[in-house]
Amino acid sequence: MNQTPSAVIRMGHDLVRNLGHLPRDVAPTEIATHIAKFWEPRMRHELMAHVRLGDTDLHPLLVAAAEHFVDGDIDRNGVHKPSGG
Amino acid sequence: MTLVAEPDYGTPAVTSPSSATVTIDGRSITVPAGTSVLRAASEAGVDVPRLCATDSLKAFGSCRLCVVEIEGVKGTPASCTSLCTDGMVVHTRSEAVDQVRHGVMELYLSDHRADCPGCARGNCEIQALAVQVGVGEVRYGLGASHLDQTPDESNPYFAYDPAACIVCSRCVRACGEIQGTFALTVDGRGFASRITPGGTDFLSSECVSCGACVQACPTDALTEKRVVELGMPTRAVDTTCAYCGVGCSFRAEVTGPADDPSVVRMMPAKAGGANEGHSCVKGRFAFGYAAHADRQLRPMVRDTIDDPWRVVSWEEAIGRVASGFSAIQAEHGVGSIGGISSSRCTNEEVYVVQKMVRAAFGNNNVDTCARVCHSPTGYGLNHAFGTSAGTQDFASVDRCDVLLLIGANPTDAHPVFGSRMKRALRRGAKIIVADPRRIDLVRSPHVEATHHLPVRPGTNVALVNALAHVIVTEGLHDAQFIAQRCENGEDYLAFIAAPEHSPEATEAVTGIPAADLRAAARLYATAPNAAIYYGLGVTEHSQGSTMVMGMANLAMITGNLGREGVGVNPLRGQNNVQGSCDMGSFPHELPGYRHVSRADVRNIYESLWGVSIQPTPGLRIPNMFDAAIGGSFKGLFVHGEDIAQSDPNTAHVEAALRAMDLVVVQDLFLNETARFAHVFLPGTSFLEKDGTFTNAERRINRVRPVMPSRVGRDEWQIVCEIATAMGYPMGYAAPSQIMDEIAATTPTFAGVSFARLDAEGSMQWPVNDAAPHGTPTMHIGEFVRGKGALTPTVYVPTTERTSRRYPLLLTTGRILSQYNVGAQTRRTANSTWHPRDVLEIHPSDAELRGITTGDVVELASRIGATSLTAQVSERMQPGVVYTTFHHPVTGANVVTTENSDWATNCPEYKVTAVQVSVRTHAARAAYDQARDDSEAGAREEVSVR
Amino acid sequence: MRPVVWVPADAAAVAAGADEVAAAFAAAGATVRRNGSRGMLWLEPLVEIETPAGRIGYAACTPEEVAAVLEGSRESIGLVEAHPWLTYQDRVTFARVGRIEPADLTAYQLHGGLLGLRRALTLDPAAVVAEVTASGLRGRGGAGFPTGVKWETVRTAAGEVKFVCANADEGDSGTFADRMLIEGDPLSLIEGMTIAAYAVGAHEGFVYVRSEYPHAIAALRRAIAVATDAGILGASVLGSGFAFTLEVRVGAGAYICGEETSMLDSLEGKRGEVRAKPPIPALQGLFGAPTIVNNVLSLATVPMILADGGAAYAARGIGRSRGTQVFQLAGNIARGGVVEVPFGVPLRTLVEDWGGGTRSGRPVKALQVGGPLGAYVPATQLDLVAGYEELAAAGAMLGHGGIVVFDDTMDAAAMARFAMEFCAKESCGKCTPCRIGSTRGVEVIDRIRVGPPESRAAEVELLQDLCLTMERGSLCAMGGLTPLPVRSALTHFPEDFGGSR
Repeated sequence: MNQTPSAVIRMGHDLVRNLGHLPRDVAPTEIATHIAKFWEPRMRHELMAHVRLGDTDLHPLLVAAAEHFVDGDIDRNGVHKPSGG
Repeated sequence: MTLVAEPDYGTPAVTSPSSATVTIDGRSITVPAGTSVLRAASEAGVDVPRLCATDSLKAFGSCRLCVVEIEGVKGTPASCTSLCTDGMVVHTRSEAVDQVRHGVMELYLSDHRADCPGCARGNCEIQALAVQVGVGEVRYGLGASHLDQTPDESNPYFAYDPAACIVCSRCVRACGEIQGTFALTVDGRGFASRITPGGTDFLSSECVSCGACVQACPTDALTEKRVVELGMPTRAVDTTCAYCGVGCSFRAEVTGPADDPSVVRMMPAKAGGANEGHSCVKGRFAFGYAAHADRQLRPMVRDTIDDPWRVVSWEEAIGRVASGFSAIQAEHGVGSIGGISSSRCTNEEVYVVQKMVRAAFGNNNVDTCARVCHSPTGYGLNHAFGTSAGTQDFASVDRCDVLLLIGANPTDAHPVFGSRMKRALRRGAKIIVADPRRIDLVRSPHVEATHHLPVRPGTNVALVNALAHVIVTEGLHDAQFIAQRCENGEDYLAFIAAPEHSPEATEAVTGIPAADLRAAARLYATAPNAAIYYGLGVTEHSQGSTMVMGMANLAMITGNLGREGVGVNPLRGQNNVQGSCDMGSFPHELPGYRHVSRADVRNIYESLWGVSIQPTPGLRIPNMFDAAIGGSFKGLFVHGEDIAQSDPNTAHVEAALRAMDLVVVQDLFLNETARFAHVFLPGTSFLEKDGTFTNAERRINRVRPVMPSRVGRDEWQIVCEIATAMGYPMGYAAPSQIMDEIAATTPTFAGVSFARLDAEGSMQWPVNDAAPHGTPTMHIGEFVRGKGALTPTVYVPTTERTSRRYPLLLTTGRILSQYNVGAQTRRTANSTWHPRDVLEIHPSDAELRGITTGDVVELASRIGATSLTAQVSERMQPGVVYTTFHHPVTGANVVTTENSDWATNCPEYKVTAVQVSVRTHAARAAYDQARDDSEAGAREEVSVR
Repeated sequence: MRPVVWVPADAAAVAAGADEVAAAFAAAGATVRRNGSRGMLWLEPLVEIETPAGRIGYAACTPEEVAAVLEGSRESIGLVEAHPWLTYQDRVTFARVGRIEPADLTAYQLHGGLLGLRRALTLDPAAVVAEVTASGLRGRGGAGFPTGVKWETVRTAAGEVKFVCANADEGDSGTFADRMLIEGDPLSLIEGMTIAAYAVGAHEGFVYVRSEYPHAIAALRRAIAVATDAGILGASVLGSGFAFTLEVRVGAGAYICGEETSMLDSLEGKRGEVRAKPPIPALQGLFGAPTIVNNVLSLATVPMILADGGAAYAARGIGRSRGTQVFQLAGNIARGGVVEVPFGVPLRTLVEDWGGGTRSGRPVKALQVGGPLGAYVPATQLDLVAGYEELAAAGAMLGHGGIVVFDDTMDAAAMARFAMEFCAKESCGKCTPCRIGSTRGVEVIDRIRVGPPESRAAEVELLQDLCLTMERGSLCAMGGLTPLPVRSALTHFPEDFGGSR
């Protein structure tokens, strides 16, 4: 997947642009929850790899969302909420 | 005339709070007040002869055969136009009645062929009726007649023979009352009266070839050419159309041996819950592809995609698939393969495909073509209401006062429902059309939209926010509904009332004059019943899911949910896109839209299937492509979908397919994707399938085999055999068992079985103990999720912008006669109407570029370029061009981008910045086209061999 | 003082040269007024010179005679209003026709115009309908349906939108009263329609005029403009706050559009085709809304009924035929024109006293009463009195009051054939008995007339069967009445069909 690194970053930034209006304390969690619910683990791992490399093109909110993966404390109840396709 | 005589009560049923009891030939019957005497007689079992009356059309009173005597009424009134009143006494036989019927019949016969071929084959009612009313001899001798008139055979599917016409106007009325096209009329007066499609031939006329006229014709005057060619059918099978998401019920009428029958014609079923006896040119006539010579009937394999295909046995092909996938997983891991299920296939076929992926592949890498059409509907409606489906049945539109139609073109893409919408409009309902293009529902005969909001592609969310803003700031919202049935109301109202959402503020973005938008918002908000209908013009955007939530907001703040005549209604693209989503085709969901992370749900399947199911989502289709190019995804099972033609950014898709080790395609034809396949498994057409389709109104319809599988196996069996060969034994004795498993594991399907569907016709899910006969209208009293979720919908412009280099926006859509990538319709005479895709362009944009209709133009985006024939059209707004995508040669997706919906990755097909320039002027283009067509014909012949 | 000369602008007078005569009077320095026709058509152009004693008439005036007329040297017919043709009439509907200029609102009011409307506006709509019901007025288009009953149906029908339509598609042969009324006194039609609209709550009206009546169309449009300017039509009729507007719609030449439901189809912009009833137009008429469809004469009579009271009108007539009928004498007749008298007049009086017998001087053989679909009444039945029921009892019908006279050279079989041919030509083609039957009728009559004698009896039987089928089975009066002239010809003049009495 490293030949097209742009896909997950593009998708991540789509999330930032559409969820970034949420309050600062909510937005990263919401983005992380969405990723947990809809992204295949490989894609999440790839995003985290970019974060770890300190990719400066990444939006801070995306980096903040990735922190939730690092910490591994995604709200499982949030995933269960009937709030997604 | 249909093969199987369905009861015909002569005039439509009437609903009335009061009733009338009448006595007809001594029999007493009670009917709703306003029922015709003819219908009452039919219901009482009294057969009254009639020719111009049929219960799908309003009474007309022209044939004068159904005359009766009514006590206290002078003369012999027609029973079709006489209405029952309480205490009425009717005599359907008397000297006077018999005399009139005899006299009228004798007149008919005086202008009817004695050797009428229709009467001989049983497709014409005249001679049989003559016998019934006792006319043996015609005393009028040789007089003026129409027997030497020339038939009109211009339509590829049916012919009009004026010599057989009795001018009963059933065709004219069907065209108007049922179809709503008003293409037919009566020309001339008196004896010279003849039916005409507007003074030209049928093909050149406004006729949309829906077949309603042919069905309505009581004689041989309008007859399917196949009836003439093959003779009358000998048996019939009730089944469901496999084109769009309307899901029309048809009676397939066939002839020939049981093991190799020919379909003579498809007759729309009156009892069909979705279509109530109507049809369109696709379902009614375009079934010939199933018998087309291009059908591949034998499995084929090849080592590389540059090798020629080699026909093999089923065993070898299945073994090759199983061993290939197993080997890839052994080398690259469990997640290195996946499957794509098909919205063209039955629920049962889809269910086994996702089961194969989850149980045999051991991952969640299953997705479906809904990804590229209605995945935002699933996301948005689930988010707002708790169910990934539309809220109403189609009949709901009959109770609707204002229709808000956004990004859908039903008269082309969902024609049978489009006709129903037109009926609602003629009844007096109003319509607001939000569409970049001036579609037929903006203005066409007997249709005039109250407002057309020509929204600029990509700005839907700004539009819906502005509508909500007007409603809220002008106090037109339903505060009680919001308080009682919704959550987050205060936040949402505060959000939407902000001045940046006002129509004046968004006018520059959406291109919609603020005054028009305000008027439309008021109309929607103040209607007793207002309903939203939408299509891919909503979903296929970078904010598709946001827009779906925005429309749900609009319905919630006006209280337009939870009863008939209202709601939020997606018009589904494919016959079973609703069903394929219901069946767990998405990589994050098990059947019934339950997330894979839910252990309770996984447990149901794990215990039944005897496997463990991964709790994390699998890859979506575009993710699969990315992973393939990235090297971690190596094998793909593609079931009945032509991703190489239908998915965006063709070059990217082709690169992904080339990067895989094993691509398995199952399809009717060697499609574009098959060019990259290593194994080709022949599929079955809907005429060979046994199962169910679920339409846009959640209606589960039976699909019954009209003929045995032409490839030797059913598709669900093939999938089971692959799974079994991969070490996971899967098998069912019959597709009904698959539905039984679905019902046993999915609460919304708990009450569904083939036996019940066969007995009850069709059912709309949820079907369970709470709703044993299904659920036509959802969210009555309470939303499935409890309170409806009002969600602030922030407008985020797409990153796809026009520029000096790409100054126009391209948007795409369907045309009536063709269907999606055209795999079926291009292999029928439907191509007579639409032989190639065209690029519609506004006159001013065309003039600026020196383009005239017929020129071949280059269409270029940042992604790629293709060429198309231009059509200068006032339907377009300046700055926006439009094309259909039915022909592979068009390569519309060569230019589309990888932009997608932020939540679901549904591609942003509807917005691509492009430039258009003349490549070849019209005259030269016509010459080239003729040459290319003949060469293409030759090429196709080669490929068949 | 300039002499004041009245020269009719009626199309019949114009056809006889009235326009040229009027121009000549103007050139000679006279003040020319253009009235409607007095209805004495054999005298047209009938020029009238105002004198202190009244208007002196000069019959069949030519431009060359203008000077003689002005000098008083041309022979006159004396005071027009003293002419016995007029004095023996009882003009109600036609009271003003010929006496005033058609768009002269002042003259209209001097002769009783607007009294009816003014009174109506003071009454409750239901009371207006009651007055019409009390008058006994029946539809003058031919069907004779009680006007008040129809209005009451529309008045009580549910619906915000209702319409009033005047049927001026006067297509029957030998009829011209609608045209003469519209050309001579269009304001009475406008006033009648306005009363009707007020009575039922309609705010829009249409007059459907056949395209063959350009003079009537022009006269009506001019009168509507005058009435609108004067506030008789518009947002507040005579300041009452009641709104009513009126439009003229022109037909396209189909006889069948004189049938009320076809007329409604045509008004809606469709092919004029008969609608099955029910629903009746009073409940679902124009654009599906409750609609009054009345003949011109019915509507033009309403102002008088409202002005003088229903009882005054009902005092005239016989049996169930109340009031007056405007007869139109035409065909082979010495003195053709309009005769308005109470119902009950014997046909003989109309034909012989007013009409003066045939123009050819030969004996009368038959009359066709009620248009091309009316029965042939043989000379032996001239003592029949004119009334709806009275004529129906004799197998004939009054229709629109047209009487066409034939002398003894008439070939009844040819006329029977003409009836079928007319039906075949004018049938809308919707119902089978009319569409196919009329064509077959022509063929059968041809075979009776020229076929072998031995097959005649069978062909006559077939014709009788066909007549029965058309009469019983047709959707509208067109096919249903065509048997009337055919059968009456066959009954009264069998010898013309090769048979014997």
